Amino acid sequence: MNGLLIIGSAIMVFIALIIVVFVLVYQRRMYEKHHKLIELELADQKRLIEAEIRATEREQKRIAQDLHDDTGASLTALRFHIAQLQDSPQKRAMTKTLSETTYKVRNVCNELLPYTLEELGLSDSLSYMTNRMNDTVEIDVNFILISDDGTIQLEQNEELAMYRIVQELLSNIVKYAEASYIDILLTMKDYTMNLEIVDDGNGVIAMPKDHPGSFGLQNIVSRLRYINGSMVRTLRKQRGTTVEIRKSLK
Amino acid sequence: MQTCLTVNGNEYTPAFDIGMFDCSPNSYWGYILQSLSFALRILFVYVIITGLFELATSIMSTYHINNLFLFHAHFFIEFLAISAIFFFSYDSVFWRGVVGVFLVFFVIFSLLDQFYFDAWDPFKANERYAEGLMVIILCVGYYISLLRRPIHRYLERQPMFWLASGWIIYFAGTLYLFLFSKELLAMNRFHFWQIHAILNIGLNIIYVISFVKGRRL
Repeated sequence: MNGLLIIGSAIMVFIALIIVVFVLVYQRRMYEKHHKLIELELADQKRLIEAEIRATEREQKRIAQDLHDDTGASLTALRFHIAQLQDSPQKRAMTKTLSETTYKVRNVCNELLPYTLEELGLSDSLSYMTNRMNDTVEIDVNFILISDDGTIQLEQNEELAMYRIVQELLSNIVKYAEASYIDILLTMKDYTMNLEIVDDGNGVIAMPKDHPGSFGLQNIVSRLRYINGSMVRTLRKQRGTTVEIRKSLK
Repeated sequence: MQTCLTVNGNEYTPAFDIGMFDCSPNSYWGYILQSLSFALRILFVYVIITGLFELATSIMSTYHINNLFLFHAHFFIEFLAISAIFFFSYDSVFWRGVVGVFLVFFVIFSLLDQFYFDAWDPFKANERYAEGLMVIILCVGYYISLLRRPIHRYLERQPMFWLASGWIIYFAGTLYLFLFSKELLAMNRFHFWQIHAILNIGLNIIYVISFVKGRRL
């Protein structure tokens, strides 16, 4: 009976042990499989986002070129014709309106296709963008770069994505935040790029999770995913918002 | 749980069980209660209560007082603690419901057993057997939920996995013992408690491992 007792208990313990080991091994396998599936899905998603971004950029480039070549040429022709007219208040008014229109078209072209990005790189393009904003809006926009060698090393597509994100965020601040200043701080340290956009607005600067249907914000999300970046918004106690975008370069 | 039996005119040696209490985590883990998750805090409180029961049963055994009512009371506390731990560990509403049903069933079964089949003072293992079966089912439920949602890369780092494994091994090993407990105790008490003590020591070691793995600090 003692033998039976020991054998019976041992068999039960053995069965329980088999179950435990089975769960341990099978769960590990399932985890690996699940993890691989997620990685594949993410890679697919990234490819889709990349294709979408490329298509958008291509379309924007086409519009910018059309604007530059057709509308720009027409405006130049118009300027030439107006110059032929005799000096009069109407001519001066037309010239002024034409200059404003030319300036606006150039701005739109530049927003659609940031030529500066290819030529100057991200930091100088952002600096250029802030200078232009200072000319056009009544907000004090400052750009500060902190980097050992004064440059930001990103791939061209990543630079464009970052540029677009900043563009969208600044546009939102200008439109909704009622801010009097915007500080853009771009830091490069320990293989991490950190971009902070600080304003003294009313804190209504929208984030993707607040407005999931917004096209501009969806663009930010797509581009963040594309560059494997992260974004955090902090509302300050007194007034203002800080948006921090971080990307690891390792 | 030490069971210093004085039934059938025999007194069982508590040597194994007292040793087990010494290696249980009561004294060592007191200062890190705050660092444990909610489920492990329940386990911690249960271990403390078990320690007090051990003390009481030892004293009563020394003075040859029947201490089996403590043994039976311990079933309730143990099952309540295990059920609560599983309840807070399950993600599934179904399995939480199962925990509730088992609790109700266990209380009804214990009362019926108490009033119609057994008294407090003799050794009875019907409740223990029922408890063992239900805990094994709860452990299997936990494993099923783990396999449905493979979110942990290393299961061996999860305290709940250790606990479920400890319980399934302990209760599977003692299921056979408690099913035929009356007959086995009448025939040969030594091996009965020896096997139980080995499994119980193993379970206590697993409690210690769970506390170590479950520390958040």
